[in-house]
Amino acid sequence: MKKIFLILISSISGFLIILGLFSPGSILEYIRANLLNWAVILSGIALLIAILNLLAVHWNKVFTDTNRDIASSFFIVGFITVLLIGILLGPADHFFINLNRTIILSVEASMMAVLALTLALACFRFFTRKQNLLSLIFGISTIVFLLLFSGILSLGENIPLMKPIITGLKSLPIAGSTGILIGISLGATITSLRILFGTDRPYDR
Amino acid sequence: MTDKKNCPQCKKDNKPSAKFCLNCGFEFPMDKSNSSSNSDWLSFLRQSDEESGLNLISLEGVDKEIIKNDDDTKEVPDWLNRIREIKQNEDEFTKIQSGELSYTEIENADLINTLREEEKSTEKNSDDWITKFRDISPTQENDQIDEAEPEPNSIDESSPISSSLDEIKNVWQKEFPALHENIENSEIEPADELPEWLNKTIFDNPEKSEKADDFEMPNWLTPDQEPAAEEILKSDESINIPDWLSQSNFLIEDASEHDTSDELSESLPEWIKEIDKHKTNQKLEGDIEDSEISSNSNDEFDSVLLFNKLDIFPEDSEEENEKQDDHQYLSESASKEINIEAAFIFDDKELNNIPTQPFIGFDASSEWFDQNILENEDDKNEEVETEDENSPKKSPFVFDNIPDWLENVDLNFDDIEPTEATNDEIISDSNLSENIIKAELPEWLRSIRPIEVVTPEISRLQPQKIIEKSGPLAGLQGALSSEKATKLYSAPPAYSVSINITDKQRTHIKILEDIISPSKIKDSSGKTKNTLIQRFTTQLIPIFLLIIVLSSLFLDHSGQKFPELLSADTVRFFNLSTGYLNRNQTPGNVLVVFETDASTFPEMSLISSGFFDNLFMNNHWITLISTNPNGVLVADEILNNSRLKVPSYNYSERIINLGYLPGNAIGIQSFLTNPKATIPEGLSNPNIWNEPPLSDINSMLDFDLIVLVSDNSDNAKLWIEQVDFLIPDIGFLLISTTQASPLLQPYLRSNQIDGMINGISGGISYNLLSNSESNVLDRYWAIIQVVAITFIVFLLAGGVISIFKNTLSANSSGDKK
Repeated sequence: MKKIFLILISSISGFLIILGLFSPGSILEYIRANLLNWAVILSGIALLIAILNLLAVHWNKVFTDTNRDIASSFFIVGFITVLLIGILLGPADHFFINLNRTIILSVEASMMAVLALTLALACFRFFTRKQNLLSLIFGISTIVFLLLFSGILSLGENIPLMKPIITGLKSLPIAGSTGILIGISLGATITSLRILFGTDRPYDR
Repeated sequence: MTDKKNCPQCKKDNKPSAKFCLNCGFEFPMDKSNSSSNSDWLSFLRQSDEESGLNLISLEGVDKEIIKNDDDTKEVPDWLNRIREIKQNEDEFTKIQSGELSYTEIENADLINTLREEEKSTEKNSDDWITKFRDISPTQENDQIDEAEPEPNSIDESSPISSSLDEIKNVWQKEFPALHENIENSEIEPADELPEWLNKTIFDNPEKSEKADDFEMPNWLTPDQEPAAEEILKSDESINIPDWLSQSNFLIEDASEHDTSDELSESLPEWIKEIDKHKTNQKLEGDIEDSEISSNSNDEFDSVLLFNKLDIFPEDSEEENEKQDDHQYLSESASKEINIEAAFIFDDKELNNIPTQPFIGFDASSEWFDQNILENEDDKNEEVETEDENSPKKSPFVFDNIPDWLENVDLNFDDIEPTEATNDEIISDSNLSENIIKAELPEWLRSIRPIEVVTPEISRLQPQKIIEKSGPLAGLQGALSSEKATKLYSAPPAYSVSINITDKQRTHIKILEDIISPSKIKDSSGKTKNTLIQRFTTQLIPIFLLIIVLSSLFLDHSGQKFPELLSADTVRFFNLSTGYLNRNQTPGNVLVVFETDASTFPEMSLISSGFFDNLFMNNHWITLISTNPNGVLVADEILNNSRLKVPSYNYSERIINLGYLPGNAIGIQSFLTNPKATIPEGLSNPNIWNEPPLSDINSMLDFDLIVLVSDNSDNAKLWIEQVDFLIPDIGFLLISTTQASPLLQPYLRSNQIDGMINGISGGISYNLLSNSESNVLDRYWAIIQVVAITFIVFLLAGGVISIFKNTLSANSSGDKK
């Protein structure tokens, strides 16, 4: 009975949204708009819950008796500080925005720089671990596309055979990504139909 | 002996708690304490009774014992009170007519005396059989009473009850003189309700009784009729009482008589015999009084349980059982003093025909009988009056229909204690209950037992309901049926498009993991340790890369060559953006969607700076929104950089930041459908939709252009799909990083995106097309090329080193061989 109830709710909601999508100006569109607003509100609440969960995890790491993680204390202090400032000054305050922007952009850009260093090290170790055909192809393709997207090969576009070759090489990633997107679209369509007709129930697991 | 009540009318011993004489129905006087609780009308009647009682005391032949007891004279049955009341009214009427009050009182006494003398012969006839019937088995108690009473048979003449009966007769004669003559002529006519054998016993002339011929002997009594006992045969009248019935009467009187009447007892029914044996054993065991008390209580249980098992209560007891179904109520009612009114209002005929043993075959002295049967005799009396006199009488016991399980009923209930409402006995009951032998259920009861009793395995298979342990529903099972269902809910799993990984692909992932992670060797102690080469490469490669990058910042890039052939996507982007924004010759409304993490801010700032500089220079309205929490900050930083380049642009006025849009695809669809309802307030201004530039915006089509800035192909895909479906006519451009561009290129080829700037090369192309300053981009373009070559070198160097390493190891192994 519970499954039937859940299937009915999901199916009816899905069909109402689809029907509202294809019948503009009708009451179905009004229902669809309300359902979407409810979903947006629930998503906002879910984000708040996620933040509280993150705070709770770090709180437990700091105040646990075993395997205490001191680094989590920085998170707690930072969270409380930013929260208090945001409450006191408001989210549109320039100081508050600059504070967040400076911290977040600096930290995340630094993480990207570290990634670049890690990848450089991985390039050096690549052929030292595996010396088979697949690793050779992977290495060669890496070199080709580094040259291609860095613009180095664009210097030889005036060469008669280089332009079609460069164009052909640039279309290779597009071909591969197109195939991936087609597969993803088909999978998403089938999944949507399965959920609409109750065959797949992600809410009942 | 002293606890027993002696009936002043029939001299029959009764139980101390009895309210009525079981033999003749005489109502015993009640205690003052109980009488005080009677209603006012009863006290009024009692006053009249006292007056009449005083008159009666002055009469001749009054028994001394009854005279001594004033309470006895005060307590007169109601039926007699009513008659007296009628008589009193008549006396008053007579006084009014004649004015001779004293004469009337004397006349009443004389009239009663004369009537008593006239009826003396008739009463003797009616009392003879009772006396004989009673004297067959006199008990020891009766013997003692007989010693104190010189003439038991004449007690009726001198007792107040007999005098009151005379009064009734007197009234009856006045009311129905013709009927009185017939009564005198026919002497005593047997009652219809009496069985034939009883009529024969009472009356000598059965042929004079007209109705006696129509009387039918009950079926339950007829087959058991046998010649009477010897004691009865010795009497003047032959009584056709069945021997088992006559014997059963004696069971109550004296147990010792059973020893001398074995022959008679053989003809008794089995259940009567069992009762007989049971009572005999009880009386032989101990003290007389104790045994009587115990036998009374046991007899009470015998009667009740027997009635319960037979399921054929007497009519009056059935009504009682509707009110008291359990045995506890019976015991409670037994402990209470109940005001019992007169059982019957008899006329002269009925009074003479009253049988001495109203319930044959039962222990009439039991408390159950006293408390429960006689309790509702008023109701019974009404039923008797309305009952058809010719209707056949049926026995309360139908022995032919006794079920099989009842035949083996153990009537020995000695182990069962009467549930008197005293604390001591309750405690003793709890002790005795442990010693009670397990009873055997009858077949019909076994068949209706719950299935859990017979097959507990089946009950285990059934779903177990939760018993509430706390709260107002504590103790209830399955009260909250939805509680279990709520526990089944859990957080829905995070759905993402994933690819099933085969074993081969898993092997490739393992290879990549090995490449990234440093290789370690184990020493003699078993601990892992990095080799010297690994330490060298781990430290040297990052240092070398940093040196190259930092040095490239200080190199001269003036001679840097850009690609001669610009990307077609970027050209399309430039043309469309210029066309959409400048078509109205007025500043357009541009919606910029930032789907960017802060980590890609450096790249995204380089790519999109030229476009936003162009917007600022053309003084367009910009509205910002982001489905990434960090996207708002990235957008603010990028636009702030452009504001520095174009200071003339009124940043605070022309840029509206709508902030974060939750809900991913749902939020995007809702916003594209109804932007005002989805985001009613802005980040800094709550009335954003009432102020320019959004005051002119009612739907998404009112925007001139939508620009998506994204470094994530998945989030960009959501916007592309929704915008292309909901608002396909609007201009939609895309600025993406080099990382996300390959997966977004198909949308550009399928015209779902009008134009696209991808990566540093796309930014340079846009700058070249828009003639914007590109000094920063030139510098980074050179650095990218240098770093790309550096990575290729690292890759090749690692390959060369591995080849040499393998070669050296092969040579060393060859040398060893």
